[in-house]
Amino acid sequence: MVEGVFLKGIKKSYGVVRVIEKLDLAIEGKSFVSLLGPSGCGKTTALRMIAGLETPNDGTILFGDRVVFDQNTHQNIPPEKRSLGMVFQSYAIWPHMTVLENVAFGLRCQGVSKKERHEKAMAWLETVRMKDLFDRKPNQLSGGQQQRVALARALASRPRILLMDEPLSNLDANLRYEMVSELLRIKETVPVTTIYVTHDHQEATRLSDRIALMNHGKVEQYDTVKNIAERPASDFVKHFMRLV
Amino acid sequence: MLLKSFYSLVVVLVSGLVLVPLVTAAYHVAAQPQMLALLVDKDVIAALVNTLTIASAALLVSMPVAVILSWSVVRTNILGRSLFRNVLVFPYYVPCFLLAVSWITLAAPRVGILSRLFPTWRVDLYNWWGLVGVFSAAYLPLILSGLCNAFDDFDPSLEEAARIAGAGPMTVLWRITLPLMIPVIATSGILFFLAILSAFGLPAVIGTPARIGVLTTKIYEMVRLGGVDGVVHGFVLALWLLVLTAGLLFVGERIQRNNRYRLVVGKVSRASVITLGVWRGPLTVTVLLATCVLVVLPLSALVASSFLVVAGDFSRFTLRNYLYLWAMPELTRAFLNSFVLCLVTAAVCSAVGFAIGYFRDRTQLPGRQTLFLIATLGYSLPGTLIALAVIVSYGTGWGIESIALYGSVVLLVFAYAAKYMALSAQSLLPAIANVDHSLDDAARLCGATWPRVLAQIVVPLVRSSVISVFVLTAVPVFTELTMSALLVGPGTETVGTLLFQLQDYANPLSACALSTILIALLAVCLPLVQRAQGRGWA
Repeated sequence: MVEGVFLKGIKKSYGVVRVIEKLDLAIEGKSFVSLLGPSGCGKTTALRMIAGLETPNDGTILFGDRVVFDQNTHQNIPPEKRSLGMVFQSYAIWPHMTVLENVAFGLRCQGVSKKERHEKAMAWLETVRMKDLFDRKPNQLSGGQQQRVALARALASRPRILLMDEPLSNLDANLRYEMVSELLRIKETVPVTTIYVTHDHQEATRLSDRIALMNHGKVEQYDTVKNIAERPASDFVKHFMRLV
Repeated sequence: MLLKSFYSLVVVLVSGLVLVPLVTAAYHVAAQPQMLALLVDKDVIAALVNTLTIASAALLVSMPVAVILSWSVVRTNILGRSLFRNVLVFPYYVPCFLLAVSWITLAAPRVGILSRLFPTWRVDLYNWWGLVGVFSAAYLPLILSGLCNAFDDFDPSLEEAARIAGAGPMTVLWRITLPLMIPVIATSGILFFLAILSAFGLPAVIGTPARIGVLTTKIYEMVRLGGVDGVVHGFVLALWLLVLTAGLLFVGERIQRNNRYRLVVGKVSRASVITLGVWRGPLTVTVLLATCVLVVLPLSALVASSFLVVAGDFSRFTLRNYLYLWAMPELTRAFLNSFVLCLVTAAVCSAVGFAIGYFRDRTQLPGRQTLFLIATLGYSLPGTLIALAVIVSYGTGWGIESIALYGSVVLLVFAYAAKYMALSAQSLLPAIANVDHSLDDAARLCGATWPRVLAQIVVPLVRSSVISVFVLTAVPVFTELTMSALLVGPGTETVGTLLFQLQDYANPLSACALSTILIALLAVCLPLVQRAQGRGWA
């Protein structure tokens, strides 16, 4: 079953700096949602709290009906037990492992036999069109290729939720356009709830089912791409989406 | 939970190695404050003055020589410059005490090779100038290697910009290169000064016959003379070393802070080489002469002497000196002790250093910064002080005979680890910090627990740094003398103390033989050491 993600009353501050004022968000299963906003708006922090890499100061996070974080009951599932896939801005490909070993690592943690995990990893490499480079070390790969490996690695352990933190921001414009098409293709073949952080409104518009437009730690508008374009909730939304 | 118990273990270990000895020693001193009068005792002040004047004089001799030599071998087109560089820097890896032994075989009165060859010259190194000269020669490679590396890393565009602005090569050297090198020169000068302050072996074998006492040899005398009081007296004297060290490190810190610009802007291109023209020949000859005097002459004198029947007499050769060594029951023991000690110390230091760096960079555990500071304290403490503090705290067993560790190898490990842990923690922290946190995060999201992240992501990525720390700890510990001289007892001889004993009274020619063996060993291990220094993830 593909789960939705539900954030209720999430707050986060670092010392006196409040990064997330109060975040409520309901993300449907299988949907592709972008957290969009200028830098410093709290979108990456929100994503990292969903991943379990940051701890909120208050609120509840649910994956389907499973509570992964609850301030009141002091429940906090560590990231490795949340069954997620994540693609990092820096790709975070482990430089001491080959492409295949990188992709198979999650399955290795699950105790899958070597033969089986290599077969599965190869299948994912085929999906991202990286099969031929399976025995390369990451330093022999271009940025775009590393990005594909990171994606295959995030999907390889069949997560029900996929998180992506500005995955295309380190690529040049042409490659970025190409990778968006690639992501759209993968989105069709692999049904998974996806939360995508970006500051690029075009990327968000092309990829997403819904967009949560954030500013100063709050959601300005959370709606479908069509509705945001047709009925922007504020001047900020209008400006950010280049609707004026 | 596992993380926390592991952390507590490291905290206990580090405090036990560094804090407990220092606090115990300080307590002993505080219990008898009248002992502090020793600090201004006439003999002690004389030793202090000797230490300072000798170190300053050696610095004045070495620094200009080192600047000229390093510039010549790195930045000019003299003939055979990379060969000269390798030969000149080689003694950096040789224990300084061993270099002192080689200078004695060369320049001792009557029995030295020079005295035999040129009896009318009246060569004698057992005096103030001899001590300064040997110190300068023995510790020169320390500055030289630092300066050579700095010249290597020098950003050529700084000089190219001056050339384009119309300055000739010599103007660039004088107006751009040297001024920019001043922080490096000052820092390596401070390191040189610190090394001389805390040196024991060299002043013991050259200064003592010349009746020139320095602080470390004075401390050694006090400790060897008598009991617990002797040790505490020694510790009081070591406070002078502490004050001087702290002062110098403070000055060094200030220099670093006032020169925040960086010379190294990534290793994009090598520093440019200056074409010398007519000066190429004379400079090549000068460097050749310096190399011969500083390295080739003393080391070949050492090797040659190890085969002589009578010191300085080249008419008869023999293997007797080696056979004498072979027949010594202490030889196997010393090698075995030093071998085990260097492996254990290097293992402890690498493991603890890694743990401290990991806690500091990767966790939020309370006190992790303080832990790091305590661990790196040993770096700025003179070896003599550490050794004495370890003796007063663990040597006596607090009155319980059965747990007194004085004269046992365990005490040696304690002292070595307290000293060298600083090096490992300081070099492993940046290595760990260089591993981007997202690499850990990515593994955790793949379902890896923290021990697995540690074992399969972090450790493999810093493996080369850990290996280099291991090697760079093991090599100096193998021949360590300053701390060992105070700590060994019957049966726990180390290679360093055996060499000291041979040179000091037993059989100087066999000391040459042992030194030759050690140099040969070092020459074999050197590629390993140099690989360890040029580390990093490629």
